[in-house]
Amino acid sequence: MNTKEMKDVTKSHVGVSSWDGTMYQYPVDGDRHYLKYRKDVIDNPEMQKKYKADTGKELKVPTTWKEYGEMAKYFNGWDWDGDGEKEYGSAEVMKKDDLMFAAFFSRSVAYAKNPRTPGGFFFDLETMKPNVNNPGFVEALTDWVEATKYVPPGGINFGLGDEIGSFGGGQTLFSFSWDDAFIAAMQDDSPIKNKVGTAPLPGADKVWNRVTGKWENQYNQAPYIVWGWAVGVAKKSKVQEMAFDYLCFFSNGANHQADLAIGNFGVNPFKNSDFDPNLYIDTMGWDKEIAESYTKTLKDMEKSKNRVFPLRVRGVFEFTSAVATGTSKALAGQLSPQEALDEVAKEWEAIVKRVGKSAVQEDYAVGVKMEDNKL
Amino acid sequence: MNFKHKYIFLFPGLFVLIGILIFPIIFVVRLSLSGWNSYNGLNFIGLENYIRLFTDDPRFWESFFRLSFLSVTTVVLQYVIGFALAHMVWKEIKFQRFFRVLFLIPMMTTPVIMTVIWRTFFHESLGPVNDILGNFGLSPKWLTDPTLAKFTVIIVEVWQWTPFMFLLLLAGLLSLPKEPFLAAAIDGASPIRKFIYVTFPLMAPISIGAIIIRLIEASKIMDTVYVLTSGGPGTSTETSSFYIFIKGLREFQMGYAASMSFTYLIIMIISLTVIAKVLTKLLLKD
Repeated sequence: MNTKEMKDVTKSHVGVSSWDGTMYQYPVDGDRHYLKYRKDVIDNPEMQKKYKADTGKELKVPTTWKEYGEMAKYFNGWDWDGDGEKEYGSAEVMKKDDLMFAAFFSRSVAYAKNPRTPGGFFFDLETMKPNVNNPGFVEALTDWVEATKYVPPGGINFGLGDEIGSFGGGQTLFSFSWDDAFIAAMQDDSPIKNKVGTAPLPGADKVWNRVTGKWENQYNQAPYIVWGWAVGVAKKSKVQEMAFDYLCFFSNGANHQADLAIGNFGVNPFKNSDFDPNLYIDTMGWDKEIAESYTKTLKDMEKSKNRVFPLRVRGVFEFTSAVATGTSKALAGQLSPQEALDEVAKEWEAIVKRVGKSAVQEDYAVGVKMEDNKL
Repeated sequence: MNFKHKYIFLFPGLFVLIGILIFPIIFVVRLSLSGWNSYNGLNFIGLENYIRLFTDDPRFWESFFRLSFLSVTTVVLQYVIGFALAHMVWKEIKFQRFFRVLFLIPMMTTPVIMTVIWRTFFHESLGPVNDILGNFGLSPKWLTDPTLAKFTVIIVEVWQWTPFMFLLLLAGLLSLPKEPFLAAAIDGASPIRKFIYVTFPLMAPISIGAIIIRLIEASKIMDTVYVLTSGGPGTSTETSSFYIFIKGLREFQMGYAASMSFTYLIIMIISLTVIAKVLTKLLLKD
């Protein structure tokens, strides 16, 4: 922990590689969800004028999911970049079981992570009652169902690879999830290199207070730190030093920087030194403004006091699978958002019962400490 | 003479049988009585998994009925198309050998790879199928409409496995005796009457065998669903085997997945036995 390289790891990703303050894994990647948008459209004065004339609203980087939806809907299904092909509003991971639960939580944090109600985003830590069907999550799912109208044809069957290909290939105005789609768009072989921008995940003009059981009508935004690859050496390995040496080689400065430039590789910034814009300007040919906005977007997440971390409890795959099943039923129109999330909450309660309430509670308490900035 | 040593020769076969069939079944039964998952070991919870399956898991039964629809539809289509193709190349036609090999190609390709290719074909915004249909103002939602997605799965399954049906039926046709056809020709039977009263009845035994083999295979539809739709949109293409895969290898509920697998095995044995008997009764009247 005292090496120069390890001290460079961001606080969030030290947290992701640790359990209750003790670091067990060696981080090699840092993940978080954020907004990606077509800068050449959003910043284009002609488009801004047209959007204003047609909708009466300003065309700007969306700061709420409602604005995101309005803009995505407006720019859906016509050729707004003049390449002879139709473009669409948003590319999102909506395919069941293809990490779609993470996309749902990205949309939920704005409405349901209230900095004034510590004690659990996913569950109420005291009672272990699931929060996943409260009005905050339902509002997010309602927005998401609406999003099925402004994704490309077949968009509700898009997995992560499709999302990367769609936004990275210039098919949509917006996207949100991991870095990959943005990096793919900024590769040398991309038709939209230096035409894209980044911003924090949109927020919401209201946030649910689960303690009072009422909406608070004030702006809320919450970053979603979605894991990051971390590796380890087996305790029983006979060649522990060699294995660790390989990990050090894999993630050394030169290799890490090369990996950051590849859209489909999956290694993303997890060190404070990765937030230096010159790294992207000098070695990857990014425009200064884009590189600065990208690094600022990532860096600012570290400063936020309203972050959400992945659910890390026993039975986690059962919980996330239940979310995928329920939300995909809503996206397919099989259930209303409230019905779908009631079904998820019922399943979560059954999982808590199966796994053991005290076991899940004990695990989740560690996550809550991170959410509540106590770790 | 003492022939006791003959049992020694049975050991290799018996050993393999125990290793790859009897032990796995016994282990699955034992597993199904446990709550083995990512946080519990191989404990013993009695019939809890079975009670949960029969009283509190409508999704399993929905996926089973969906599977029944998919497998019966695909096998019927495979049988009809396979029989037609086999009948076509059974006769002396030009390029007979070429067509026989051509019709077998889909079966020789790797199912998962081919499904990825089919998924690319049917991709609703980037795929060539909708690109072509778009010229006629059509843009079917091949993978995102709950009803159409089922038919997309059927199309891929029929394409992949009709050659297997074709192969079995062609082998059957080539082994038919010539005399009944000569007799029918002397009686002046038309090609249609010849097919209805001679070919089809003579092919009944092999047809039953081919249909049962394909039903067994079709009831395991998993890779096609996994690649094409992941069981979606919603749960509209989720089959039993895909659901068992989710519970076992996504959620790591190994004990519960084992109880579903064992229940599913029993249901399949019973239903396929009934289907075989019904088909035999219908097609082998005389």
